[in-house]
Amino acid sequence: MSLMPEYDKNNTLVEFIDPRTKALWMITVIFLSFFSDNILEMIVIFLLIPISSVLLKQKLSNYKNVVPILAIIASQLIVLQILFCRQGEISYSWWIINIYDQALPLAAVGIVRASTIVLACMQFLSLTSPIDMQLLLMKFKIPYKYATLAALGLRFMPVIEDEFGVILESQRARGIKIESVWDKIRSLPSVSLPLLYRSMRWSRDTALSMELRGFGKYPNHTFMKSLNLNLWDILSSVIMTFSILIVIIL
Amino acid sequence: MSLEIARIHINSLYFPDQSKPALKNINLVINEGDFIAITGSPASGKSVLLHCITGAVPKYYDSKLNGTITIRGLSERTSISDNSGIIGYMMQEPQSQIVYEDVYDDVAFGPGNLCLEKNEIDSRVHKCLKLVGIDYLIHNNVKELSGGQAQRVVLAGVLALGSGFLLLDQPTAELDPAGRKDIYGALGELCHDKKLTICMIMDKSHEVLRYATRILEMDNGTIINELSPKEYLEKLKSNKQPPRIKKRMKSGELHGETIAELKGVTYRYKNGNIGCENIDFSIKNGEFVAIVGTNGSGKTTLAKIVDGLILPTEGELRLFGTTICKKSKIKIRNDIGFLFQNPDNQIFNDTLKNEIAFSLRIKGVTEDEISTKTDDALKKVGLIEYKDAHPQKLSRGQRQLLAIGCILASDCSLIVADEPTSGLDEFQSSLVMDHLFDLNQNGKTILFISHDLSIVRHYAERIVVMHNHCIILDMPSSSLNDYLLELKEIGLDFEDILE
Repeated sequence: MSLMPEYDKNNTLVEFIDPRTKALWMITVIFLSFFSDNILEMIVIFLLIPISSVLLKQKLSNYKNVVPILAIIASQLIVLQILFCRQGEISYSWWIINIYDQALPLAAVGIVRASTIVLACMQFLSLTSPIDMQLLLMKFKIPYKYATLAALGLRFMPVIEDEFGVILESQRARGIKIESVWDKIRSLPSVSLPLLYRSMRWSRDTALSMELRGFGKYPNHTFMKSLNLNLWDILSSVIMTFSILIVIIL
Repeated sequence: MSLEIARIHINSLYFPDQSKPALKNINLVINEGDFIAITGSPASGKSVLLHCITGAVPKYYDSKLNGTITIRGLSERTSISDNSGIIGYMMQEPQSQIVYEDVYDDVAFGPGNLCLEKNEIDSRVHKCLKLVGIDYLIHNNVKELSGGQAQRVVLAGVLALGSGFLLLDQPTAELDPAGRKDIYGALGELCHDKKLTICMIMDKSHEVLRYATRILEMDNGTIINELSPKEYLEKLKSNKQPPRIKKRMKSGELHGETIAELKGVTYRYKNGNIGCENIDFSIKNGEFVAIVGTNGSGKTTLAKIVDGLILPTEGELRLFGTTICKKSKIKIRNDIGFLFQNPDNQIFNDTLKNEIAFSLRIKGVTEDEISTKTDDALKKVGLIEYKDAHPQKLSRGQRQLLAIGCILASDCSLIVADEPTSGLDEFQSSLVMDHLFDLNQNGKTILFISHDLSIVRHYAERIVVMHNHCIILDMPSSSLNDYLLELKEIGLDFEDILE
């Protein structure tokens, strides 16, 4: 089960867009969702993410694995609003608990906003290759060494997820019962410790391999790719910046 | 006279909390054009020696080194990256050495770090990928690659640095026989024509002996022998035991009832890729069966189905007389042991004895029995002296033996082993396979996957050949000679250099 949708390098449409435009799109969507308190507006802003994904030929099923996590966040928000919201009139009262009529609408706003933030970040990560992320960070004056770390994070996240799957399978083969939620909690040490040991070994091997391939020898690096804004990028960036400014002014 | 590339003089190397030195009394001179293969028993210090040459010991591994290592006349370097462009190093696990998702970007990473011109980098990337035989994968995502292909990507990345001195830790461990032949051929050519210097830890393939100029045997942290390939071959031939399976067959032992049966089995992965297709296969109690095939032929999928780890998407799987479904697969778990390629996916306890005890507790063995069985299993795999040590302090070969120890103690009737000797050298491989053989002699059924055709020939009594996700041949190993040509055509060359 992969939480993060994978970057599809064969998608020419995605490749065509500069990572700065992709970052600005993510910022715009999150910004708009923060500036709106109207649930309908917020749903429209939220829907921009799946619509843009469809337009960019991304599979919507890529996002399905994050739904259980969003469901947990949603349930927490509902409980918190029911217990602590003090806006509106009391619509229900029992013992010391008073439920106000604004609790659920506010919970709904929170859920849509949280979902928009999570999905916008996921969309950005799925649209940006590790090397593009590195080049993007370097454009924002992040030193080459630290920008490489971000690229490494993107590269190794799915690898570690796969590794976790293999460890689960290995421990199942050994006879450990990992079926129900309780089983999974009980088997946590047998699954997480091998992953921890493996990750530590991997990080050491990766660091050694990178150093021996000259990483850090010089302050710069020759990249085979460079970021260039095309006309489409410039136009869309202008539109997004204007929409942010209009929202701030209004 | 050849130019001196490296001079290694190590009086001793100690790791913290260890009374025995990891390396001692090593005096080694490596000259330009040398092709050195290092072999030796588990934990004999082979990988540590390579790490010393790269400078990773003591920088990455806390240790006390008494001695000097001089590379191209320089004995002091401020950082390991100073060695880039001078030394190229490739470790065992390829995926941890791949930095970028794209094959092209990853191979270009090293030359990019050296701040070379774009044209030069591009030409090096194309040249090196062609050399290792994967130029057709140039724009692939590394996630789509098999283990063998990933190993070639790493090798191409190391070669692209243009360093004249390569250190390789079992560079073909995950390759099939045809892949190994190609890689060693290419390295041998580079060594001969371009005066490239290579120092590598030998895997169990004898292919490297065609190109090596010197063989170093290590034991207990020191070099105990330096031989020419010819001398080493003679030694191997004289030490070579007759195929163990023949001894067993002479005893006239007959096999029992069918314990695993697959009828018309097909497995499709969620992404639609086929794992194996239309498989009819059965295994009888007490058999010792090998599955062979090139990378990606469906061997591991078949092994996982036989183990009940995955259920067929089509067809019927019967294990121990029961048709396997989601519910029943948990019930048969205690009767089957699965030995994975990488022991690190299973090991998590703080001592060896606790690791084996854990395997027994899962199966409901009483605490009284656990102590006896644990000691017994550790003795059998030769790790009893380390029983209170942390498993992560053992070498890879020793950790694989520990995984076998867990299976030995568990007393499973069917053992499925997925490339149990991958990443191990000849000596370690024999240790592992001998244990499986002994289990088989005691009535256990063994099904193992191997790329090492000499091991298959030596141990298996029945060979199953897979190609393009299907079983194309199922024969007793005595008939192997009748099919050598057909097998060679699909990349399985059983003609061992030792023969």
